[in-house]
Amino acid sequence: MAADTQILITSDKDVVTARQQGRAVALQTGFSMSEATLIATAISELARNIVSYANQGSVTLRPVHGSKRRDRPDDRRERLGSRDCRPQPGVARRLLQFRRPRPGIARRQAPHGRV
Amino acid sequence: MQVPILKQGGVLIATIQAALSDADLLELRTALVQQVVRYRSTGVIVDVTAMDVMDSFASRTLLEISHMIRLRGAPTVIVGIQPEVAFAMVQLGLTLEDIPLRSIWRKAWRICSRSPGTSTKRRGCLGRRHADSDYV
Repeated sequence: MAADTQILITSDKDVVTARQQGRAVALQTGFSMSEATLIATAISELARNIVSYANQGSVTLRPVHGSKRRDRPDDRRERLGSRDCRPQPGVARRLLQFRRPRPGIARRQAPHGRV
Repeated sequence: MQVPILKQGGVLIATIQAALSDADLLELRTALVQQVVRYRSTGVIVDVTAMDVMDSFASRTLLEISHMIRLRGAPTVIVGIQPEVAFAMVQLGLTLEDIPLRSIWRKAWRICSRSPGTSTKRRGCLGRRHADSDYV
């Protein structure tokens, strides 16, 4: 697995650098040009938020290989206390699939406002 | 990075040649509005072929440019949005409503040439340098 790429974000010029690096990493990982542009756009939005609201921070890019997900949803537990209120099996999994970000870029929340 | 603005007859042509930061986009907006007022331009063409990413800030700035210049009575045409940029914009819900978008220069030029105040004698091949064209 390739090493992480960390880009310090202190000004709007770093936003450009971050999205260019993100596009490069996405293309190296095997994404198509359209998906790489989508990833670069998302990184641009995140990096701009850092500049606007936190003044400085960093963006870490990490290619994640393989299709196995670590956050496996589990519907077997009774969360609402009543058996009648249990969701159908697989609902959480489908919801997570719907909201799942594009694979290939890991976004990590770190202390002090870092993304 | 400064975006060159070419004055071709009554039309201003801004060609973005590299990825722009937010400050560059704001600078382009100010420069374009100033040049439109200064030269009483009848149309503005913004070439975004070299833009690799069109995020919310870039979209909003282009909309602002279009609205500001429309208040001066001139249309703004965006030319050359790349297919992958268009894909990302649609996926993220970014729109450039009310701005004429054209894929090629010639169609954009037609819109600006039709606007009132543009001399019909100036119509011609875009690749040819006219006597009254100049970088501003």
